[in-house]
Amino acid sequence: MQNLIKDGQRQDDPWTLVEDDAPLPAQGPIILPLALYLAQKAEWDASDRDIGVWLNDEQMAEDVTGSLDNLALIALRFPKFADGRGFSKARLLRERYGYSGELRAIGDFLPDQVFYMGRCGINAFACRTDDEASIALALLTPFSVRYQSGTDSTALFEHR
Amino acid sequence: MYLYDSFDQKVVDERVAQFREQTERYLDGKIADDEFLPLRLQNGLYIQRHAPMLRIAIPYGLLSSRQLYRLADLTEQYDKGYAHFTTRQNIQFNWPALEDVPDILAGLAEVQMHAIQTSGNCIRNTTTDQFAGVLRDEIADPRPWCELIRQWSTLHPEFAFLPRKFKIAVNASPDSDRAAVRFHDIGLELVRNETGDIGFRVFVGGGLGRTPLVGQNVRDYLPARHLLTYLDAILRVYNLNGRRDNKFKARIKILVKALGVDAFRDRVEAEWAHLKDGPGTLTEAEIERVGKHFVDPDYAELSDADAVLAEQKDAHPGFGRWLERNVTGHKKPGYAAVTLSLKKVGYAPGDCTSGQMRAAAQLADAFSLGGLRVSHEQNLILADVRQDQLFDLWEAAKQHGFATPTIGTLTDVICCPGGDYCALANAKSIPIAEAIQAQFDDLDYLFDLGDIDLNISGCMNACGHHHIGNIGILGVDKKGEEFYQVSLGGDSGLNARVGKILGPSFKADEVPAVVDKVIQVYVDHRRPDEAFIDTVDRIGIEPFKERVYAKSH
Repeated sequence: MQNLIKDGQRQDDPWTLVEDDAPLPAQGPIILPLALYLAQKAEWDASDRDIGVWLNDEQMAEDVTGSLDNLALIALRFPKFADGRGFSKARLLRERYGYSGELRAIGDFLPDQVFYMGRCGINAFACRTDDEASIALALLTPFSVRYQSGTDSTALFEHR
Repeated sequence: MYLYDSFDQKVVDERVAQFREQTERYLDGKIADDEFLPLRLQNGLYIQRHAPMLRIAIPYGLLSSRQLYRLADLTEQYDKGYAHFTTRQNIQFNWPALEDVPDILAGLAEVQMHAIQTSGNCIRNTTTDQFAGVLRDEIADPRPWCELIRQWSTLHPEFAFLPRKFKIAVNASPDSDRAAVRFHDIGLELVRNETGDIGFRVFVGGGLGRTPLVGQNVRDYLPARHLLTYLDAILRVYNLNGRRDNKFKARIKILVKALGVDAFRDRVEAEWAHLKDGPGTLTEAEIERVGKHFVDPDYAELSDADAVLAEQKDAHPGFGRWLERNVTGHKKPGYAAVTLSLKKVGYAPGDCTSGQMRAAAQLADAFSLGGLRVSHEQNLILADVRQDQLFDLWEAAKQHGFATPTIGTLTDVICCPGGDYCALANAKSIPIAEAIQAQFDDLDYLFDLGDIDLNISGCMNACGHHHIGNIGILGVDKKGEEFYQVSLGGDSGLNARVGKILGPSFKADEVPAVVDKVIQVYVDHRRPDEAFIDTVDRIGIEPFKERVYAKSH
């Protein structure tokens, strides 16, 4: 699989996404379900593995704010591309809670959404397929003008 | 009106390129139908009963003659030579081919137009009073604020995939509300505080559709510079908390109702506390930059032409009628605003041929400084006409079928495209409008009846705003047959309220007679100079019910 775009480039993915109730891989960086992580937070935080979590659609930015310094990656799962909650969650994590690790979109999203996602602070995209990752790469910045402020720029009116 | 600079132009040009690429990918089979759906909807493109439908934004109803000429050309080049002005100050092409849409959008971009976010679950075109900027009683011109909202909402990265569509309207007149702000997801009323500073009263959670609700006051005074951050706060609360499990319960009005307005307000204020004075806060420079586009044109120093008009009225009773119904006062002495009616009997309300578009554009150039407005009543407005030229304009408007002197009367019907065009509709609406217009063709009688809003929607989605018509007609489906439910007493203005349903629904051919009976009851009960809506208010709907459902002997 070469479905990951991170920081504007196709990249190999060192992380393993652990689904709910799935067995844990013995080694390597893992993205845990948030509940699993929180249940044994002290142990995970003490482990020398790279630990990330993923948030399902119902889990909010506030559910993870106590652990931001311990998490190298937070993934936002889009249950359906039409569900835009992840856009607000991403902005909250970046702008309000100051999260600076990898913020990754996972699940059912479209290559056509990566520009908006990027503007909300998502910097990694685990696309549904390799083909879609190629398309998404070409669609990272379809617009050179940004009317509103985002995590990537101030509002146009600030420098117009 | 607002003129694009190189930044604004780039946005629409890049949008065309983006949609062209998306369309190519779709036609190549690389995007699934359900995934192309939000992409095309956010460019105004529906797949309709007969063909795609393209909804083009007319931001807060402002249109230049140049833009209208271009629309006329595009309807001929890519459509059937006509288009439909909608109840939200937009215009729709009914027959474009999907593969032509990128070219249509490119043609629009050349005249600073677009179809961005005219559909889909995102922030739609912001609407306002069709007489904005020329009204005497305005607190301040609402158009700069509409333009600031347009730019803020255009390609907003956070709010493109909301639970449901989102509509904002702005009103600046303390004595009337032609923008129906209390029936929008967010309604903004321009107000001044005790020190004279401009701000907004904010209503949230109004709307029509399946659950018609009047918007609730969430803030009495929002200082103007905080407008965009406050909108961000409302939208964020909605985006994160609005229901996504049932599209019929997904509008913000349902969230406001479920939480209660006080709890909703608390959430918005808590969110806003973080955003207030942040990067989205408007600067004086930006408010001034946008405001400059809406300064008054070079009006001539005139006085009102009462004497001349009185003479012309005496000589031409038809002109008198037109003056009374189709001409509105203007803040500058010697000027008037004129409504060009798109409600000629025998034509679908709001429909306009390419020939009429060019004619209207010519009239705008000749009589109104090249500018037009579109009203939510689906008519065109020339806002800056010299009173001493009204007679010439009337003569010219008659030639093109624009002078039907019925603005604001029973036959100035507000009507959605209905089952003739729309895939969502349960029933046709245009033939009902036509039948009512044919029934009430006596102008003297119509004038005597005075102001009556009659609205027709072909389904619960309420594009014809039937809930807020003084008389509302809703198409319903009963076992595959088209029926019509009638309601009375709706009001879109300052006394915002939803009409009451009269009773069991009627067949299409019964509707004109039902409306006639309703009108008879009004005529029987009205007090001198009492408007229809006030009579309904005073006597209630029982007398109307009795007459309409009385057994015939």
